[in-house]
Amino acid sequence: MKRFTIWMREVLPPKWLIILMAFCYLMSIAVPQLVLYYFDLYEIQEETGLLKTPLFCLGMFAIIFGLYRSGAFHPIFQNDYREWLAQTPWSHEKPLPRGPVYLVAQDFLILCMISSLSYFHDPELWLITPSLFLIAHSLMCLMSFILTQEYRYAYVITFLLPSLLYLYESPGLSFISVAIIAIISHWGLRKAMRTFDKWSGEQNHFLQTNSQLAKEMRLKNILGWPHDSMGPISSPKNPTLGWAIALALQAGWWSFSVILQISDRPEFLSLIIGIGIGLWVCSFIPTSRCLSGHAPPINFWGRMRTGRWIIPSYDKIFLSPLVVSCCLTLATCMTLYFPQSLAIIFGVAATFYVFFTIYFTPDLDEWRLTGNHRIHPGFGINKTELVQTQ
Amino acid sequence: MIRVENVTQHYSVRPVLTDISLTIPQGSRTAVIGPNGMGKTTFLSVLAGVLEPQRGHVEIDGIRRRSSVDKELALRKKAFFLPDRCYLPKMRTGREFLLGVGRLYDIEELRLFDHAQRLFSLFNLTELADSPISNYSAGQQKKISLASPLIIEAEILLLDEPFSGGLDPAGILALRRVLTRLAEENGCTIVFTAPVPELVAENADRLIVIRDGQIAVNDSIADLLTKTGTGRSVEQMLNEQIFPESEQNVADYFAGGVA
Repeated sequence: MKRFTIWMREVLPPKWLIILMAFCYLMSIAVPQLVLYYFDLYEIQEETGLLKTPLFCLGMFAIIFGLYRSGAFHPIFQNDYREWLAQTPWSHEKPLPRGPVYLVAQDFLILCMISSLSYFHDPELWLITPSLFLIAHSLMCLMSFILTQEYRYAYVITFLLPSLLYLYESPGLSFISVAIIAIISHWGLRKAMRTFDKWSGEQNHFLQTNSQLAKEMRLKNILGWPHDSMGPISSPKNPTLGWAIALALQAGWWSFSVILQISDRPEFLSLIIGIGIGLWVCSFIPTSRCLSGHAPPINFWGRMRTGRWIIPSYDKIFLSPLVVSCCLTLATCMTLYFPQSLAIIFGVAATFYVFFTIYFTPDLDEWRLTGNHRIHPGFGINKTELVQTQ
Repeated sequence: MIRVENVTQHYSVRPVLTDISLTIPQGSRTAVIGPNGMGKTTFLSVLAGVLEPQRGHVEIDGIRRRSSVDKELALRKKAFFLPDRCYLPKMRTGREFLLGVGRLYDIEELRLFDHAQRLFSLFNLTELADSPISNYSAGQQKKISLASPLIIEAEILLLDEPFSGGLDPAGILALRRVLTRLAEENGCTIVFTAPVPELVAENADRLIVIRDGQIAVNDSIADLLTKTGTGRSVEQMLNEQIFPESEQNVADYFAGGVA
């Protein structure tokens, strides 16, 4: 028994979390029973849905456990652990000191236990709990792939996730779909761990974003003018053309899938208008990053009086929101003429939206360091934290 | 060496700098002076890459400003620009600020700690080193902002009015000596603007006078003195070069008063 406990402890969450989950589970059984008894609802207990509470609770545990299994064991999510590991002679063939990052037999046992309890509560929907575990685990893996620069795996998983929207009514098919995603995640994890030396080093852009670059950015922000704008700091690069197209297609596929599922709902129109306005506002975010602290080479009156109303080398930063506005307007008009093809129209619009937003926005480093503008301190200065010298 | 080629800059329709070309040799201490609003700060901003001129360009050691990301990043480490009015973090201590600037420029930590301490001593700020900058007086804030270009050990210092802004005589003396030694011993190139000629004589060995957007004078002070003749002080010579109408204005004023 002691050996079994030690063996299980390799993957188990902390004791307090297990106790809390057990307590919540017992409460999810007891409280509905009390409610049914107190209000005498036994005759309509199925309609109340109260008996589904334990299943809901088990689903939550499955999600928490799935997130924990990847988040707590993957070195990419633990800065100190990763940095320490990089100093040791550890390699991917050896077990990880904090426990396995891949799914192992202990996980299978725990899942079996949760699934059995789910089956006990609902023999039809019990497959939802292992599916939720695998989805949560795969989502954490997806994040780790972005951080470890295994972009292809991240892309494939993101591309497969909308399949669940089509299959959610059939728990069996959903589970198969999720299992395929989990297998791809597993391959991705193996590939990522094999390249540990690469992604734990200084060349990892995302890790730099997390630690070194973030430190620089924090420094930059607290040091005031001129260090905030004139300091020798690099910014993250824009995606390449290939990745811009790939991401745009991904966005189109997601939009198509989501809208196909919700287009027959009564609140659809207001939802779409809200999202459209939100997207239009969001298209200004990359432009606002370029505008911040960078004034035009000549001022407004200078433009008017010299006849240089448009300065292409500066005004190119407005191209992205302009094209995106046109794109959204066109999509809105198209829906009026082809209301039966909403999903296709919005899928195509989302593809172009993402592509134009990414591709027509200047690279921030290019803009900051080589753009045709005047750097000035007034924009974005936080006067509550900074003091101006006389 | 800094080379300025045919630089023209205007913000609206009035040109601030018109077709300026000049060279600033390495290791020189160059003062840029001129009447108010005549483009001293704009000139320094063009050198610093703060703005891209409408025409022309600036080269530092053969590298053109804003020509590529990598080159501009390298130039920003090499040439440091300190504007006349900086924004400093209120709630950070002077030491945190200086160490932060040093880290931003990848200065080695141990050297940084030592250098920061020496800078506090230089500017008589040792007692305030660990106090928030909001507690500093105007002159002390100016001193800490002046310490920031020194701590990064840049080869080229572009300083906009470093001697103004409430700096006390001890601070002026310290800065003057440091700039002189940096230029003479380390070969640093120093370009600074100054509103009054009195500050130029002892702080600079070269002089650039900007008037009406153009270079009126660009020469070493020694050569200028030789050209203008003996028996006159640098101040007198500069006043004649920069503010030729000032004496006449004063005379006209009093003449008008008597009448």
